[in-house]
Amino acid sequence: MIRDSSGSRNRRPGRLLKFAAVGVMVLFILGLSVDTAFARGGFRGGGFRSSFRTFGSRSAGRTGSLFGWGRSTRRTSTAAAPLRGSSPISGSRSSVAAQRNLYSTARQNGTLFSTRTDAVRSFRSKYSSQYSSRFAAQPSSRPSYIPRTTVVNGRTVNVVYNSGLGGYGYMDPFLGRWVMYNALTDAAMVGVLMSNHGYWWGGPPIYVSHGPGFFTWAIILFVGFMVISSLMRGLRGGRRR
Amino acid sequence: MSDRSDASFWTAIKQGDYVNLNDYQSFAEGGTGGIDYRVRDIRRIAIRDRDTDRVLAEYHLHDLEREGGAVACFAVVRAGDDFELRVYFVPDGFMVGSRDDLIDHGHTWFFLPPPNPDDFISSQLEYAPFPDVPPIEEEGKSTQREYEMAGFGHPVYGSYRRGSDEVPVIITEYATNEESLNPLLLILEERWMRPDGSVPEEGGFLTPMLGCVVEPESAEVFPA
Repeated sequence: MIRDSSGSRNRRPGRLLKFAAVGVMVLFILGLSVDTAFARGGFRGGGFRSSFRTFGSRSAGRTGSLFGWGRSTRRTSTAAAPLRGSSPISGSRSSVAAQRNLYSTARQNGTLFSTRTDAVRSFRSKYSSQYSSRFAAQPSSRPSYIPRTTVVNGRTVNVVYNSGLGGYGYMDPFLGRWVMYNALTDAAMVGVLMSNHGYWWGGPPIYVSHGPGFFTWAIILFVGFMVISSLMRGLRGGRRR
Repeated sequence: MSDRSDASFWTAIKQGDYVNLNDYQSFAEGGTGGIDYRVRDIRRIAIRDRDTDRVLAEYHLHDLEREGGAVACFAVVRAGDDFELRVYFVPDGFMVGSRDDLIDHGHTWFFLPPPNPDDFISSQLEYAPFPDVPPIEEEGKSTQREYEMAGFGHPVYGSYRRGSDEVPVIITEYATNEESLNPLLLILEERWMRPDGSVPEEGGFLTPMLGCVVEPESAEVFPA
């Protein structure tokens, strides 16, 4: 321990600088981890680039592999691989912005429900007459709420106009007879129709922020502040002596 | 334009044209009218036989945009007289960038592991026949599916013209047999080779996309 003539600890700027440098390095690494954690949410449009490209050789262990490597053979177990702490990938083409708009509309229109069941029940009671599949004669153009195909117990079937049935229906592959198509019991179509009418159920859409945003900058600013304040203190101490 | 059951109907799409998609997923998002997109960019990629230079397949990748900045990729994949229409997109959770960028962020799942995972050159990594695709969430349920190399069964090399440049690309296709809205996975790697023939160590620019096949009836083209 270095002490001055008064016996107190001598806080020399050089030593402080060393501590500050170590602190900067530790927090710099922490900053990288934060970036990586946020990167797990993914990026659209490819605007993000790592700023820390000063390392020499390649190493996948630098930030850890989130999902492991690919394989040259089929997975032997049918059980899903562990998630390794990663966020699931959204397999939906629909954008978060569109979902947010729908949520806002639902709130304004009073068509926001806590569960899908409640939303469907409300929708059916209000719109059942509007989406009928019964037509005495074949319409000149197919109504937009009657799809060309629908899925029945995992099988895709064609939905066609059947004059004998008096409307649009399909041959049920399991029952072996014609069944009238019902847009309000078709889970896919009723979802579409409810969206058209501004129905929403569940909580608000979640937006996951990606990229090196707030936390990294906050850490950098914090580190900068600490370094400057340490230097100032050191210089002041030096002048006093 | 001619018959929509003919590939030339689709390969005649020009930059600035409008495409309306009305497949199931477009219904789900845009309602019964589907979604209107504008064609922002087109990459017409030719896959050639290395020995004979014969065109084996063509990938016409149309970058679609719409209000709000949402994008999709409308692909017309043609092999001889056969063709297929597909819609791809980069999902939240996938990352685009150079091989180095992706590996730095832990996205190693589409490559085979190198002999030494702590010291390797990204451009030398091989695409895995069975990528370890992370769990994908569809309609509130997260599932990890088994994907397998599809298409030609191996990565294919091709190129497209951009101005006076010939941009080299590698296309690797995967598919899952498990139930999924988007069972296709395509990895597009652009500029994996420099114009002088050398290979950048950081690898090309990768765009991994999920997608599905759409029927010709599920798309309309409105010339600009």
